Amino acid sequence: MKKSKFWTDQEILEEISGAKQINEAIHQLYKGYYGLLENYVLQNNGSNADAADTIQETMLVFLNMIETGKFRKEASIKSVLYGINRNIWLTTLRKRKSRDHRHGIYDKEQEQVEFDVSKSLAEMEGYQLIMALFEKLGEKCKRILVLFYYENLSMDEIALREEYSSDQVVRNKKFKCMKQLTNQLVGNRNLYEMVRNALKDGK
Amino acid sequence: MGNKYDDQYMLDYLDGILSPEEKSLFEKDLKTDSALKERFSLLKFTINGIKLKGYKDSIKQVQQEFLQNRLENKKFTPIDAPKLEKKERSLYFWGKAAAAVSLLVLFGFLFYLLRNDGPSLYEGRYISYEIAAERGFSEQENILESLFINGEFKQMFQVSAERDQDQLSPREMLLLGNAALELDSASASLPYFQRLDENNTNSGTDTFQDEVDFFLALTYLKLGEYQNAYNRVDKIRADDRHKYNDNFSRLDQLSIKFRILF
Repeated sequence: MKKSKFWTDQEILEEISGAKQINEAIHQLYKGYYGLLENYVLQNNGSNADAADTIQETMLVFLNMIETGKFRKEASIKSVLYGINRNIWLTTLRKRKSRDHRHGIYDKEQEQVEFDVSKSLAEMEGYQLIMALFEKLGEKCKRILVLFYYENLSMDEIALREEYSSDQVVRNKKFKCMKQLTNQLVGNRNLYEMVRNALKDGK
Repeated sequence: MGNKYDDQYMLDYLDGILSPEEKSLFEKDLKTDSALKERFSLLKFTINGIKLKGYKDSIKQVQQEFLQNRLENKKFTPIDAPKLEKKERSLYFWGKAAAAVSLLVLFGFLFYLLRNDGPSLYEGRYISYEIAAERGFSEQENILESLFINGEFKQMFQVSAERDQDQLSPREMLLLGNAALELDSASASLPYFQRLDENNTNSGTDTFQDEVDFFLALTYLKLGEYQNAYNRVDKIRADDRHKYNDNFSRLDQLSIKFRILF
């Protein structure tokens, strides 16, 4: 069915969950909520660049919530995005050690942060580490892993697109890449502990 | 966790390629084996991190496009106001618009014509006659001319009254006619210009004819003799080499014509 210019919450969630038109779904989120989220940051001592960074992270946390099934469908996308954005921005302010501003805003923002949102934020720190390790992989590894896990292509499709001789070659290559990634993680005790903690916090 | 399940096996489970029996057995062990569970969670977490990397790149791309688009829109439309729809107008509408504009132009034109009666045209086009500078010294000795130069127009008529009118030279008649106009008396100027014109016609000369045409036209306008005025203006405008060719416009001519007709 053809969608209207502005998608409903349901349509956005379906497209992201089904990994179909992800870019268009993200675009819908930007069209619908960027102004609202940006306004919050700007009204709380943030710049346009602060707002852009915060919103980018907000979107990532939101998509992770959908991906991991932590998004409660009874909540509206608007309220969840607003909650995530607010928490990320307050955390940023806290990190900046801007105590005057922090207390000023934090006193106003004593509302209970949604449980799922805070869990997702904790998880994100672990994911940031995984993503940093991922960046150290070779280009071919990164391509195969993203095509398989993010774009949901089959081994056959990847073999065809990336010009591998067979799907089995892709499967083997993919396993080696995953092993390389997890070895990096397990080989670094500090990183491993951080991810484990993030895993616990995220549960 | 023993050697029963390695990473490849767990990945196969996560990729959904195990058989239902293998899947069921793995899930059963996952519930009881904490080491397996931790390793499995880490693997799952890693896969999710890869997916998020994909999301992150998509978000970055969409955000860049969104902000770029917003910046461009801002440049051209600072206020995000809805644009007016371009309405399709019927021929009838354009016909009415054209008629309205034509009517407006016509009324404006009529107003202009009505406003431009003889005296107002006279005021608008009148220029004082100036004696050419290339005369000889003896000519400047002429009393009428000296009085004209000095603006003593009334005295010119007192002096001329003592003279035989038939003895007045064409230059003197021209000056007297202009002196009468300077005194705002078109009726007094008319005989001088008419005499000059007749003399030229009778003698086949054109002494001061351009001046005569122009000042006669003005005199007729001032007197409201529109047909005579029209004839002179027409003559002036028809002759490209006439000294006063540019002093009357086509519209002036139309205004005079309008006065003749109505």
